Amino acid sequence: MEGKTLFQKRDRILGLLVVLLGAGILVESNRWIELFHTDPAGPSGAPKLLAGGIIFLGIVLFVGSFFARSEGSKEIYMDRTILTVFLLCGAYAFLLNVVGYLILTPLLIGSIMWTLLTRNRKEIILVSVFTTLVLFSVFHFGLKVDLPWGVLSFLFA
Amino acid sequence: MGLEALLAGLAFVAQWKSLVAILFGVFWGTMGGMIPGISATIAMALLLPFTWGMNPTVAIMMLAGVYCGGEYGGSIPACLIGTPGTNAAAVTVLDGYELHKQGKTGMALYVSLTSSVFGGLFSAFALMFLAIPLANVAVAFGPSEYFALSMLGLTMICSLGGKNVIKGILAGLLGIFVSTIGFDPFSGVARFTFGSFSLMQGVDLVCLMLGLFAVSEMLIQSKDYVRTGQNFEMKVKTNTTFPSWKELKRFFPFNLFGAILGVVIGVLPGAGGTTATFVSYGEIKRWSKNPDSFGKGNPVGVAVAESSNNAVTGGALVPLLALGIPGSNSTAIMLGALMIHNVAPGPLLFTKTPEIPSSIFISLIVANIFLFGVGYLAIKSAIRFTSIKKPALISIVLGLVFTGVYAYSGDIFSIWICLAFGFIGVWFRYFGLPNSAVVLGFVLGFLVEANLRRALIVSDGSYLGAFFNSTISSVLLIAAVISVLTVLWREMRSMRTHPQR
Repeated sequence: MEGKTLFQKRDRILGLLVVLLGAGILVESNRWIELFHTDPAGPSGAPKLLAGGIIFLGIVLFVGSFFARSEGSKEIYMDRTILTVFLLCGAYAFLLNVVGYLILTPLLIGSIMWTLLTRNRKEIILVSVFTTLVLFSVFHFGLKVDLPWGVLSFLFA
Repeated sequence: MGLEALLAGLAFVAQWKSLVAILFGVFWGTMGGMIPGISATIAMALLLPFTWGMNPTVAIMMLAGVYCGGEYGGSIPACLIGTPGTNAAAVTVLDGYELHKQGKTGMALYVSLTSSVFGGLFSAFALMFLAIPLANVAVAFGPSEYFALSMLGLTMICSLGGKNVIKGILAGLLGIFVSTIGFDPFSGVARFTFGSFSLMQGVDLVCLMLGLFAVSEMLIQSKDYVRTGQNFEMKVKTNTTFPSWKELKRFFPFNLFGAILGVVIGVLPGAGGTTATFVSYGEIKRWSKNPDSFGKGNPVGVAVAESSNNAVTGGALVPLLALGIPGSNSTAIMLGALMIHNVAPGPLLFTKTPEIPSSIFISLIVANIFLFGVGYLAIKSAIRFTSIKKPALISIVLGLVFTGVYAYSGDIFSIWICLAFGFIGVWFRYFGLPNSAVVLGFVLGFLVEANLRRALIVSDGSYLGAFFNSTISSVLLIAAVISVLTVLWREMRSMRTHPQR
């Protein structure tokens, strides 16, 4: 009955994280200075209420996890592939302005395909270059979006 | 609206120039809706400069076509790759993508298409006959009523948790928390920005949604592919045929329900398609005999979400045409187009130049008929996309999502936000927190907070006065309380029946 349980053992971690988040919201919202007294709730009213609800549910999950019989779904977990793809995407966001869309996007697509065990270089180059060109044409020429040129900006200055 | 005006409108729409403009609008909107990050609003804004030299009515008809197509287009990637093309299509992902994974791709896509057309046509007729009375409904809604409506919508988070109501509510609260990030619109206080200038504008719904749905799904599928080497998650043969009339017929009552709610919510300024789809989906699920089947590939979920989503198009035009108030970003662009051509919307539009609103009403009907053909062709082309090998598909989707997010905001920070929510989305799924409840909390969170604070200002700080300001707000709040109690009672009864839970 793994999928049918109300609580899972891993809810202990979730409960703790959520309580910490709620406490953080509470601390942060107490720092705001309220200038206008015509607004009875003020900017911190809703966040404080939220923090209360989040902390309460966190405690329920934490306590409930002690009565849990199962660990939870084994299908979803963090592994090396997820982290690699995530880091590749992070590097893309980090370098996009510097390197430019036209160079970096095929590299992103190609490197993700390589991570996902595609070893046919011709296929990788074809997919990454073709996709980039299609996306660039649609967004730049069709939708008039100014995508980052990066190192290629001198060509269009 | 008089028959004479309607006939004049029909004659105007029947001209080939008008028909071409509507068809192009529907095509443009559908394509825009299919691209994540490009909403109907953006698609309309991009077309606005080209309407300069046009007849004002033709321009508005073309934009109405874009609006219809844009609202529908988002459902295609929602069903095929679990990535909502538009905000309102987030609900379509829940069942549409599940249906696709079960091999019922044709059912998901064509139910979505027929439901969208149904919702659009229904709203066009509603607009034609009820524009003025419906406008009065919009006027009756003040902060208290909006707050109560949003609360009713928020109660749906109780049922989005699936097996665990607590996690549904927690995810909803986390979504509301995300909606509070950025400048407080009332006091100007920067909340939870930690000095980041980019965060001061708040988190964009597009970034949140594409991160939670698309990026997290692609990250998980990457892991699954490397682990299993399976080329696609479907273990069954994909059926892409058009469902039979008998099959489609059983969705009509749900389409009708979604369309009615879509029109009513569409009429309310600021509520929009996303709110309409969440509320109608939530209500259908709540009153269903088999609520557990929702989110697991129940085509009724697709039918109700899509009909309400497209019914918003007609509803949203009511305050624009009858009162001159744009209720959404898309109608604001339409207002801009009308003003460019020196046409002032409002009550006088119906008396002085009735042929303009009547042409717009008729054009909405024509646009929805065109939508069927354009949507059918778009589906046929899009289905081919899913036969691409999984590594290529994942890479292309991630490239598309990041480009779309950048195009939407013009800021690389939004890619970071999207990526961060993708990572958080994987953890949410690990802990069993429903991503859809986070999106619902985010969408309605802002409405709840803003309207509660407005209502409190009006009632001089009296919560009772703010909550029960009118019959409408009282009824909506009581309905919200009843719906929460119903879910809790069901849950407790189910726990008693299955003590192992």
